[in-house]
Amino acid sequence: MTVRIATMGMAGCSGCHIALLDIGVKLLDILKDVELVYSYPLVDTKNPIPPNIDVALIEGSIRTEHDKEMAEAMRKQAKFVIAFGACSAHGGVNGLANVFGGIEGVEYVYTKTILMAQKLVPSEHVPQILQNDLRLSDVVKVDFIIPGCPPNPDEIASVLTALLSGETPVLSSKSICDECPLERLTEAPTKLRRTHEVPEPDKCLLSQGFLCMGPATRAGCNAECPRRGMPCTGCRGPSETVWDQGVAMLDALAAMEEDEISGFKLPRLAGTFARYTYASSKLDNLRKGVKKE
Amino acid sequence: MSKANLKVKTTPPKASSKLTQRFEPRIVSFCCHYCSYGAADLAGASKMSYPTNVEIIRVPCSGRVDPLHVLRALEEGADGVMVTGCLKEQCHFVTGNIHAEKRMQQLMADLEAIGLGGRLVFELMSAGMANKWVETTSSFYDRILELGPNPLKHMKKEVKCE
Amino acid sequence: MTKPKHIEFEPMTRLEGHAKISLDVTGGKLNKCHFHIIESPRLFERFMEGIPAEEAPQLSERICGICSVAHHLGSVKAVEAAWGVTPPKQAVKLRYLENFGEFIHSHALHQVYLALPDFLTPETPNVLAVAAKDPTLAKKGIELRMFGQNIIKAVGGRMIHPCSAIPGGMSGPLLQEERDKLAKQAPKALATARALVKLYFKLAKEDEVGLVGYYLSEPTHYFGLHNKGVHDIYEGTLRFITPEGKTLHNFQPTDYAQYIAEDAMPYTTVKYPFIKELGPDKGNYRVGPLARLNVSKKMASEEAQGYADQLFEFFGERPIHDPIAYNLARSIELLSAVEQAIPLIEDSSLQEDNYRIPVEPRAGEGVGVIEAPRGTLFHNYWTNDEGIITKVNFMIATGQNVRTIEQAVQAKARELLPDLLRPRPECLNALQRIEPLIRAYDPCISCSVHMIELVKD
Ligand code: SF4
Ligand code: SF4
Ligand code: SF4
Ligand code: FES
Repeated sequence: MTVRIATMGMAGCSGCHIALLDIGVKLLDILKDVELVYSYPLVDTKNPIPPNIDVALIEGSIRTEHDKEMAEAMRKQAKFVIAFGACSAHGGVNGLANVFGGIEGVEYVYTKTILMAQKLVPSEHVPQILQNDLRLSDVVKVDFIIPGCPPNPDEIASVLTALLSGETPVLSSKSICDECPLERLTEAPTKLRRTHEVPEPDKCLLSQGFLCMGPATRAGCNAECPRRGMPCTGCRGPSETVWDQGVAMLDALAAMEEDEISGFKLPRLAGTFARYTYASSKLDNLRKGVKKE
Repeated sequence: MSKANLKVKTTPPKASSKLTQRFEPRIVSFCCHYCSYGAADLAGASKMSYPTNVEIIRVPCSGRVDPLHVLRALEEGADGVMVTGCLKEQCHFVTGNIHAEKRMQQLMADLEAIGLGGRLVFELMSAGMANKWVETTSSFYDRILELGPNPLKHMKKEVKCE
Repeated sequence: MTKPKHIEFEPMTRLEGHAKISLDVTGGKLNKCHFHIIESPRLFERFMEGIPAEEAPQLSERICGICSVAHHLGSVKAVEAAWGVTPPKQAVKLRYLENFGEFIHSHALHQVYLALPDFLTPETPNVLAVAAKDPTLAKKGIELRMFGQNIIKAVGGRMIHPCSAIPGGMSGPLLQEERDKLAKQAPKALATARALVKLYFKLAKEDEVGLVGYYLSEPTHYFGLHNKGVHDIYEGTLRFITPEGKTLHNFQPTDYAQYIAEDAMPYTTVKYPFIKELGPDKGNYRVGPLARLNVSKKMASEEAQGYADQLFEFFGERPIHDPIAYNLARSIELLSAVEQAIPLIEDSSLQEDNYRIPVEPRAGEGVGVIEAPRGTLFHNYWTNDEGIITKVNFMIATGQNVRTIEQAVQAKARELLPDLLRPRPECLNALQRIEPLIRAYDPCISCSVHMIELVKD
C-alpha cells in the first residue's frame, strides 16, 4: 500500500523543505512507496488539498489568517500531522516579534526602515496578519514534532522510515551536552562572555562562560554547532526534561557562578534564552494574556 | 513525543462587577524555611500587623524557587509575588539566595517587558527580622494596590506542560 | 455591462515562496493585473534590534533557507564593517568557498528540480517526470546539489543556516578529513555541471517548447557586483548598467542608500527598489545571474567565459534582456562556482590556524553586500557602544526583480486573457505558459504551498 504524504509551508524560510531534500539520494528510496500528493518542491498539484493524506509535514509558524486556514484545511485531510521544524513546533525565530507585541512590527518594517520612499503598509489582497506569531499546535492538533531549525536530515529520514513501516517515531530524550565531544571543565566560569570573544578550542563553551544552550536543548543534531566551535543557540527546542527552554537556561546560568557574574547585566531582550521558542514560552503566554485586555 | 496536557482546574475569579467594590490584592510569598518564614512567624507571634492577604508558600531555600513558579503564580491570578531568602552569606545552601537574586532580577526585567512590571519583589532577611517582613509586605501591598488587579485574572486557565 | 471580475491564481508553483496572480476583468478587458507576494511577514527588521551584533549572522540567515549562506556572510560582513574589522585571509577564502557551495546547491536545485521540467517534460512539468524520463540525470543533479551542501557543512558547520561565520573570521578551519571527502566528490560534480550547461544550451537552441523570445523582454537596467570587471560573488564594486549596456553608476557598497530607494505597494509584502536618480518608473532594474553576467566584463574562469561568449552570441545582444536567458546564465554560474571551488578545496592554507582574530565591539554603521544566487543582497546594521544592534535594514535579492516580473506577467496575461477566463482545467494550461517566466528569475520568496487555487467571484 502506498502512503500518501503532503508537505506545506507557512511563515518560514523553506529551510525545512530543503532539509528534506538534503536526505539526498536516499530520499529516492524513501519515496519509493510514497505518493507525494501535495508538496511544493517536487510536484505540481493543481487542486485544493486532496483527501486521505496519511502524513502531512507542515513547515513554518502561523502568522496570517491564510496560514491558519491552510493549516485547518490540511488538518481535515490528514491523519497524522507533523509540526516540521522549529517555526512550526515552537514558533521559531519569528516568535521574537512577539517581544514587541507581535503586530506592531508590521507597520514598523514598512514605514521606519531607511530606504522607504513612501510609507505604506500592504493591505490589498494580501493575507490579514495575526496579532501574534503562533506555533502550529496553537491552531490545530499536532500529532508529532520534528524539531530543529532546520531539522536534521538523518532525523527526518528516520522519522519517515518509522512512519512508513507503521512504527511510532521517537526523538532523542537526551540533551545536546550528551552528544557534545567538548571537554567539560570542573571549574565554574568567572565571567559570562559574548560569542565574538575567542574561546579555547575543544573545551566546553558553557564552562568557558559562553551562552551555550546545550543543557536545555534536545539532542539529535550531533551537537553540530559546538563541534564547529560555536555555542548551541538552542534550535531544537527544550529537551525532554525541560518545560520552558528559556527559563531552564536562565536557571542554569544563574546557578553557574557563586558571585555576581560580570556581563550578566547586558541589556537582553526577553527572548534571548528562547530564540526559537519564545512564541511558545510561558512568558509570552502571559504577555498575550496581558495584551488581550 | 510531547507529554500529556496537564489541565489545572481553578475556580473562576468572581467578577468584580461593582466599581464600589474595593480591590483586595492577593499576594503570594515564597518564603525560605530558614529565614523569612521565621520572620513572618515571629511577626505574627509578636502581634505585629501586616497585610492579611499574603499567602505564604514555604520553600526549603529561595534558590528552590524556579522562575516558572513565579510565572505560574501570576498566571493563576496572584496580583503580586514575593520571593524572600536569607541574608547574603547566610543561606543554608551557601549560594541559593545569590542564584535566586540573579534569576529574579532577569525575571523582573522580563515581566516589565510584558506589562507585568512591579509585580515581583525579591528581599533578603534573617529569621529575627520581623520588622523587615512587616515593612516589605506592607510596602509591596501598597504598590500592588496602586498597580491594580493582575490583568491576567480573566485568562483561560490551562497549563500546557511540554 | 458585465460585472467586474476578480480572479486569483494561487499559489504559483515550483517557486520558493507564496505568490499569486490576480486579474481584475471588466467586460472581457483586463483592468488590473498584479503579481502578489503573499509571504507571511516575519519582521526580522523589528526583532533584530537589541540583539548583540555578533549574533546577527545566525539570526538573520533564518530569512531564507535556500540562500542562508549569503545572508550569513552578508550579515557578518555588515557587522565587521560596523566594528572596523578586517578578517584574516584564510577566513575570506573559507567564506568564498562557502558561498560557492551555496551557488552550487541553489543553482543546481533550481536548474534540476524546478526549471528543467519546463523544458524537458513540459506536458507534466515536475521533477518526478524528469526522474522517470532520465533517471541518471536526476541522480547526478541530486549529487551535484549535495556537493554544494557538503561544502557548506564542511565550512559552515551546518548545511542550512550555518553557524561558523563570526565577526573577526570563522570559528574553525576546513578540517583535513572534510577536505579529502570534498576532493573526492569534486570531479563528478564538475562533470555534471559541464553536462548541465551543455544541456541547457542544447535545449535553448532547439527550443521545442518555444520559450526563447516568447516573453516580453522589456529592456531594464541591470545591477550586480564585480571585482575590477570580473564576475565575483563575495566582494567588489557595485555597478548599474543602462539598458544599452553603459555604466550608469559604479560605487562602493557602503554608498548604496545614495543610489537606491524602495517603495511599498499595497498588494504585495515585498518592497520594490528602484534607482533613486531615475525614480520608480524609469529606474527599474534587475539582479541575479543574467544581471551579473551583463554587468561584469569577464567570468572568473576560462571555460565559463567561453560559455558566456556563446550566450551573448546566441541572443545577439549585450546586455541580454530575454528572461529565459536567466536559465542559461545560471547554468554558466553553476559551472563557474564548481570550477572556482575546486582550487580552494585543494588549497592547504585552509587547514591553518589563521581563521580568526579577536575583535572589539563598538558603535558604528556597516553595510554588508554579497551576491546571493538570486541577486545582490544588502545587510545594513547600526550598533551602539556595546556592539548591540540599534537599527537594521535589508535589501533582499528577489525584491529587486519583482517589478519586472510583474510587468512581464501583465503583458502575457493580456495576451492569454481569453484562455485565462475559461473554466479549469483550460485556464490552468494558460497559466502554465506564464509560470516559467516567473520561474526564470528563480524568485525565492520562501516556501510555497504547491497548489494553484482558482478563486472566481
Ligand atoms: S524552522 Fe528554521 S529552517 Fe525551518 S522554516 Fe523556520 S526558520 Fe526556516
Ligand atoms: S559546549 Fe555546550 S553543548 Fe557542549 S557540553 Fe558545553 S554546554 Fe553542553
Ligand atoms: S547545536 Fe544547538 S543550535 Fe546547533 S543545530 Fe544543534 S540544537 Fe541547533
Ligand atoms: S536557605 Fe534561606 S535562602 Fe537559601
